[in-house]
Amino acid sequence: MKIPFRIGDILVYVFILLIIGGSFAGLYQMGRDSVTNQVKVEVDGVLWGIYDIPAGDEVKEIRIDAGDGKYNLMSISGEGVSVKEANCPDQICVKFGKILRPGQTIVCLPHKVVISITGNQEGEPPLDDISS
Amino acid sequence: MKKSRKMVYMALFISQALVLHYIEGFFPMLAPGAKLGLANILTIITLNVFGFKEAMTVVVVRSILGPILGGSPTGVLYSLAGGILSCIVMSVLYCRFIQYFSLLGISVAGAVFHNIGQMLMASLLYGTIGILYTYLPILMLSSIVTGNFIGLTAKYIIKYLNKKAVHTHVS
Repeated sequence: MKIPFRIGDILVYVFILLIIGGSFAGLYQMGRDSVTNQVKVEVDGVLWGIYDIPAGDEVKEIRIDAGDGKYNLMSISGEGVSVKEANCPDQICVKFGKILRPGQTIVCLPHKVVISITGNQEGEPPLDDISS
Repeated sequence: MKKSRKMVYMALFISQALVLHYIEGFFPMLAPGAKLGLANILTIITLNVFGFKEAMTVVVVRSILGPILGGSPTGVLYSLAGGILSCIVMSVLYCRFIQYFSLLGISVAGAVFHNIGQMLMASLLYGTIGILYTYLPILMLSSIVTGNFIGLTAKYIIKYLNKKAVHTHVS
């Protein structure tokens, strides 16, 4: 017996394709939303502090004290995180520029300072200027 | 049809659905949550023999008793959400638009909406919408396969039932 394949069945499959496409679009959107993140600072492998990235034009400046008078002046704004000033010999952390995406890091090797961006896991992340 | 005869048929359908619901737990599947949906065969048959109200009764009783018999009472909510949604969709397609849909198409639609209902309930319970996006594509692909399989099975059972003239008793 031949199985009849009717016009409505195509509709069902189109619907399935739409749902699959929709979920991928949703996943992509979620990935972009999680740009609003937190900044994690570690000194010599020990957690030094966690800061939120402020929305808008607000700029936060935080002085990371690495001991023995060594310091890094970190600036956090909605546009990214950078090291503004440091008294380390190579100045690589200052020249590194801005980081914003989760997983990016700035490392100051002489001071053993690691600044990294982590995704905000809990709750719905607030909208930023890219996705709004 | 006599009331007692109908009751016997309903009892048979519900118990068969329950047994199939229990048995399908033994089949290993690709992803957790992706199931064969064997009990859906009985939903389609009830829809064919009786109608929407009776099919819904079978689905609700099966969804409540099935997980309890299977030993996971927390599954009742997922089963109910998926079962009711898929039953409504299949009933609308079967009773209103049967001239446009084949039984296989209706079965696939039922499988798809069963998964959607379950995922909606899961995202409601866990409070995240992200679970929906990551899981739906896998479940949609699996429901194409299982839906066609279930539809084919139901088709041959209905053909056999027609030959045995269950419907003459019913109507």
